[in-house]
Amino acid sequence: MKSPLFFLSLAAALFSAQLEAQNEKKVMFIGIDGLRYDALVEANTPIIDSLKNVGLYTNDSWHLGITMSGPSWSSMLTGVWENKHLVTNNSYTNANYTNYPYFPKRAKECRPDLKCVQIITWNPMDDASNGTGGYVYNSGWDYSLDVGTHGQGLVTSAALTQMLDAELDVLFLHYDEVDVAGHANGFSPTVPTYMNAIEGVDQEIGQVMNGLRSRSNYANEDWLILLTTDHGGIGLGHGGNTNNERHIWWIASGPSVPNAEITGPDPGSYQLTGVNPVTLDNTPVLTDIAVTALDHLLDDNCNPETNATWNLDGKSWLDEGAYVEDKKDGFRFEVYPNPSQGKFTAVFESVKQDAAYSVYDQAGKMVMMGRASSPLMENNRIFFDLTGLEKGLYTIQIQNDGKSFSRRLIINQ
Amino acid sequence: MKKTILYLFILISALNISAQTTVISGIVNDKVGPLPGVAVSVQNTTKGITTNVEGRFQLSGLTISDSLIQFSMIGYEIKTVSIKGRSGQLNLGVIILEEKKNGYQLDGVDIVAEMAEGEAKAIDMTRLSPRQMNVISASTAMKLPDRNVAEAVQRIPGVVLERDQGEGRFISFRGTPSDWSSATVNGDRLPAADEESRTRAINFDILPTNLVEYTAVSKTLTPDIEGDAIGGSANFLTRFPVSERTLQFSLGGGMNFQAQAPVGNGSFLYGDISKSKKWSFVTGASFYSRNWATDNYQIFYGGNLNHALTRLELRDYKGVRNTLGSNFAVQFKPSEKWRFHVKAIQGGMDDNEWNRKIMYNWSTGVGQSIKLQNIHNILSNRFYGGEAGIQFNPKTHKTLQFKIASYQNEFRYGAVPFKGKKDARNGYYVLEFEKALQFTDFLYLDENGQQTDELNAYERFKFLDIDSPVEGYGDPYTNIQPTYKNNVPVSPSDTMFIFTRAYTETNQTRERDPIVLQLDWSDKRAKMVNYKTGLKFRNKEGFRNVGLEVWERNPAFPKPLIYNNYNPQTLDENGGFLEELGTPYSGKMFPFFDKDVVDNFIEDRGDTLVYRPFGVNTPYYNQFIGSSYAYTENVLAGYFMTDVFLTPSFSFNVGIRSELTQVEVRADSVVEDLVNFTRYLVPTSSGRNYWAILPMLNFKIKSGKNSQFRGAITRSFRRPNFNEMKPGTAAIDYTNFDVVFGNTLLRPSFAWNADVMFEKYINQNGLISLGGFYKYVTDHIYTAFESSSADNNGISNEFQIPGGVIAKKYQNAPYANIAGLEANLSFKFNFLPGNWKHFGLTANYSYTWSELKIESRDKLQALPRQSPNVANLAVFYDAPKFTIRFAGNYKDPFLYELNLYAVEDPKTGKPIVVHQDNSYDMYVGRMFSLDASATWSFSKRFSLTAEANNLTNTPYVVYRGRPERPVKTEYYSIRALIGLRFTL
Repeated sequence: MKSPLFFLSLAAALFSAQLEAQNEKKVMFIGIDGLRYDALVEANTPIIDSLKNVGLYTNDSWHLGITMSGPSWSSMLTGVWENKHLVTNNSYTNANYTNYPYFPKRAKECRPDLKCVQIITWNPMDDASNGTGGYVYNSGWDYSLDVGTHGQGLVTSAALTQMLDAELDVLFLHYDEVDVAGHANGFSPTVPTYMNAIEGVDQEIGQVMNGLRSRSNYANEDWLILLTTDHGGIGLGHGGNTNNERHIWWIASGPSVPNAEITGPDPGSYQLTGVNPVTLDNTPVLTDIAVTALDHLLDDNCNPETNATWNLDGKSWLDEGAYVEDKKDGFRFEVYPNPSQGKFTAVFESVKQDAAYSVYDQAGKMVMMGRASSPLMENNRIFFDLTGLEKGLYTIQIQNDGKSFSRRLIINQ
Repeated sequence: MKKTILYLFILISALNISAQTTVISGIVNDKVGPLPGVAVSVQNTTKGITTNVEGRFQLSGLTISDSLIQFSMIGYEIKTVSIKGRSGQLNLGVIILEEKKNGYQLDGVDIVAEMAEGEAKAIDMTRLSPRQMNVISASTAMKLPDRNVAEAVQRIPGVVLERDQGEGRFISFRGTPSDWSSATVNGDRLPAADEESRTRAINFDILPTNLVEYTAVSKTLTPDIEGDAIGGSANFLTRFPVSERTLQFSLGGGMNFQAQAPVGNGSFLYGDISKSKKWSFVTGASFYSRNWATDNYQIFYGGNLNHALTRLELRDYKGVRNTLGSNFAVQFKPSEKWRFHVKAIQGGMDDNEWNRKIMYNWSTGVGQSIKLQNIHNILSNRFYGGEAGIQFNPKTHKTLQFKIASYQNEFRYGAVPFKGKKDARNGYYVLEFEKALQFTDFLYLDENGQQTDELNAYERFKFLDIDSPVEGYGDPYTNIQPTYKNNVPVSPSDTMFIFTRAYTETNQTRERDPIVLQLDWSDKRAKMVNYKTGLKFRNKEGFRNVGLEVWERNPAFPKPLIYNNYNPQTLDENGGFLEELGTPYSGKMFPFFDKDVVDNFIEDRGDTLVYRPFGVNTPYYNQFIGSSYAYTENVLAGYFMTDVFLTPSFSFNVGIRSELTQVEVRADSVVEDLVNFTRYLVPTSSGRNYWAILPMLNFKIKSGKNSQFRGAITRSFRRPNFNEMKPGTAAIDYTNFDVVFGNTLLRPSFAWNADVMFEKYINQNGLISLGGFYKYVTDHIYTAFESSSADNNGISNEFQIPGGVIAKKYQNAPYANIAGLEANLSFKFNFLPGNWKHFGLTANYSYTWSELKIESRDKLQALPRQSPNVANLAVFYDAPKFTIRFAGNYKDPFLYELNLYAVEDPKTGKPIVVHQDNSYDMYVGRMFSLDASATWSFSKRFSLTAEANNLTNTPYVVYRGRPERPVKTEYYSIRALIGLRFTL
């Protein structure tokens, strides 16, 4: 039977997977605390890259809340923003998990037999009923293990133990040491210990993936692997408003997942103020994680996006109609600042000559075309001046070296 | 070496046979007690000797039939004793010297210049010692504004003090690390138990000055004293039983200007002797109660790759310290042959400390925030011990001494926050509130290092002005003003400080030497050759248990606990917080809670808080397990030494000491059971035996009537601290992101020491000396990187420091070289006319150079904790009725700790130390302190004393690389005290 998943793309058609209907849907969500996206791009991470190479991924996920761990993980695991779950600090005061529980709790409403486990290294995220200092409640975990300060190696060991359990349906792993390394010496691709920590966690994930693939019934299971970070970082911290803290990444990988990159402009600024709702619908954000996981786990009778009682903010990227701008083509290509008042810079892995570009409005009508101003060959950057266009959402298509790239842009004047 | 000893044996035996002549012995006392350094001479001959520390003397080899024996001592009337001709032995018993009447008569009362007397005693002891030794007598120490013995010994050349809240705590000789030195009471090395320090160095602030009769600081060793003293050895002789009824007491009161609160002290000393003169005793006690306060700010530099600030802490400390010490000594002397004594000493300090902390966290931990911490703790140290001894003199020149001693030193926290003294949850109690916010004072840089806006920043830093890459950005270190805006209030708590947690860091540390046995045998039969031999056994046991008790908001009650609901009050800044810097935070200090609110907070909240007892789920559990350990150690030592007076002007002391150490350290490994989701402890232990063979030679050449030259070549060692050789889990330090393993194979450090000293005595009231020293130290212990992640029992330690720096381990450094020069001048202008003759000065200076080879740095390093230039200068006016003294103490900045931050090389997996220069190393800043003291003896029995400490109000500064990048800056302000002293 053909998968119901179908992706629209401006650039290309997509991989679509063959699936056996009886395959059991399962989710493994790996959270790496504080992994800045440009550092991930530069680090030598063969395992994460391999997940990315066959999966659906984005380097353009935007954090719309407080870039601290408590609010961030809460948004990802509940599928709602801070104005609903009310976690705005790392003390979890006022947390409203009663009305907006963790996604395993919601999933169990439809699939009560699910077995859900989390293994973490940061104890405020533990379930309060464990009595280990955690503040999360109504989480739906069957087991919550805080391996505390014993290091990420223990997360992996505990995960491998869990893998032996045939009943396991949802596993959340939290690796904290990239964040610790960032706080210690800097969240930056230029900091060796930070980069070493990223490369270290990559190895851990490799072990976890091996464990997953070694499951006795793996062939009959449909695992959705979600890999993301809660926030970026800058200098020696995070919690602030810079793009390097808010601009995050995530990867979804598995038999049900197409191979594509999602890009998108920043739907709004810090703490949900000034959010463009149209952009929010089209760009990957934190709350999408829980909704995507639920969408994978549950059948159409329990649609997480339409359940009014659940009142979730996120969207599923496994849905028909969710769109992806261009196929993964092995090129690194970014546009910034986005939104902007009209002046954009595009960064390529390499630029061969001047680039031709065309700009489309939301209706798909071309509103501008031309050649980009003199590229700075040494930095592989091309500058575009789109000032004069009305503010709004546009798509820019750039041709260079025989390839075509598209990005969504917001012009705000 | 064996041959030498054998030769000496033969020599001694030969002399014993030939010396069948008159031997005269006795003890010289003044009205207070034994008098060391009294010149005992036989008139019309060149024979002479001086009394030892206990006032004893022995003249042998006399052949004349009738003689006059003369006893002379500065400040005392000369006494002459006539003896009738006889051969054999003659014991003169106790000879009492009368204090000299100087001719100053006021109201019919004779005043003796105590200053001269005390210092003269000390000078004589210094002169007569076979080793290089400095002595401070009680009477000298009482003149100084030094309340504890550490502060008193800092007056000695080359002594450097490590202070805590402005008071001396640890001493270091010639700037060598403080745990290279040994501190002994009555010859026994004391057990150490300290809140923080895990070394064998004792916290001197528990011992009040006036329990001590003499403090002898030896910079070279002789075989009869304990040999684990590379830096030097300080011996505190507690008060001797008196030889006549004595009663002294004093009371004082004053003010600490930082605390703006009172200071008080009192002491008494009472002693008596029975009519038969067979029984004598002394007892004394001293208390010192002082309010203290410090204004402190600390800057945390989070990165090891740049000097970006992560946190500013403003700390307002206030506290009350109470020191109480007492001692007792009794002696029974049924005959000249037998003497029995019992001595006991007790010292203790309680420090009731309040600390209010404001922490501006730019990027520490989980986000940008301000934390307020109300901290209260009572640090309680208790030391006690004593000895019982027998001295048997079968013949006057032969002495057999045996003693048994026992000591205990303990640290624990007092009854905070729970009233029950035995409540194991009491500890260093912190009540913490936090508010998340956005700082607006960052420097934003783009990828090319150019300043940019927040949105497009590639890097974000908070720098001091000196470290800013951009002109005009950054605060000066004396005035850092954080600016911030509140988070958009999503929920009401976000503009307020809310409760995060309360916790106590628990700590119980105890070390006991239950049994110390010592047997000494000496024979001073011949004037030319003496020998002394002995055995010592010491049993030691100790433990350190630390933990963390936590109280958190009960997750069942999601409502925040808001700071302002508990009635915080404006902080009493005691005349301005950091007024030395111009009160930069005036009006910006946050309010803090009343004491009762803090102490009762946990109990008053009831179910709103949930208690997380210390256990396997405690955050940083490994750190506490890795920092807890227990140990036992047995030491058996033996020595032989001989004094040879080869010619009247050349003598030497040679001998050997050997110490066998048998040590066992016990600690736990943490094991994770990932199947059952549990964590448990496995006890581990490791043991080690090692020998120290320590040959020693001290010699003295009399180069003139009043001058001598000394030299010494000695070997000494330093035992590893117990935490350094512990098995089990590593101690994890989350502040520095370190994991430090003990090393069960650690070797003790050994040193060859060479010392020379020229001393010239001027007019009996002055001393000038010049000296030099050199030490070659092998196996100095420091921490270095360890690539293995298995702990000492092979149990894999899964913790790896983020970024691939794995762990540190205590290691032996290949070698260190230390060399230095010392000069000392002590002088009284008593040749000047009129009142000028009462002026005097003492001055000393030492310069030390050092280099240390460690594997992780290419170049040789200065030895950490080593101050190059150290100087003391005291000027005094010492008239019979009135004395005044100004004392200055100077210390160069010195390297305190090396930054050996390392990054794992991805190619080789080996750690690479990033900083080869000193720009990230920690230094202790330059110190100059000035104290003043005065005494006015307004009647025969009463005198008025006044003292003022820290007149320069020099801050204690720790900095990173350069003084403009301070880490810790602490001001203590001036402390002043006025007192009344009574002497019977």
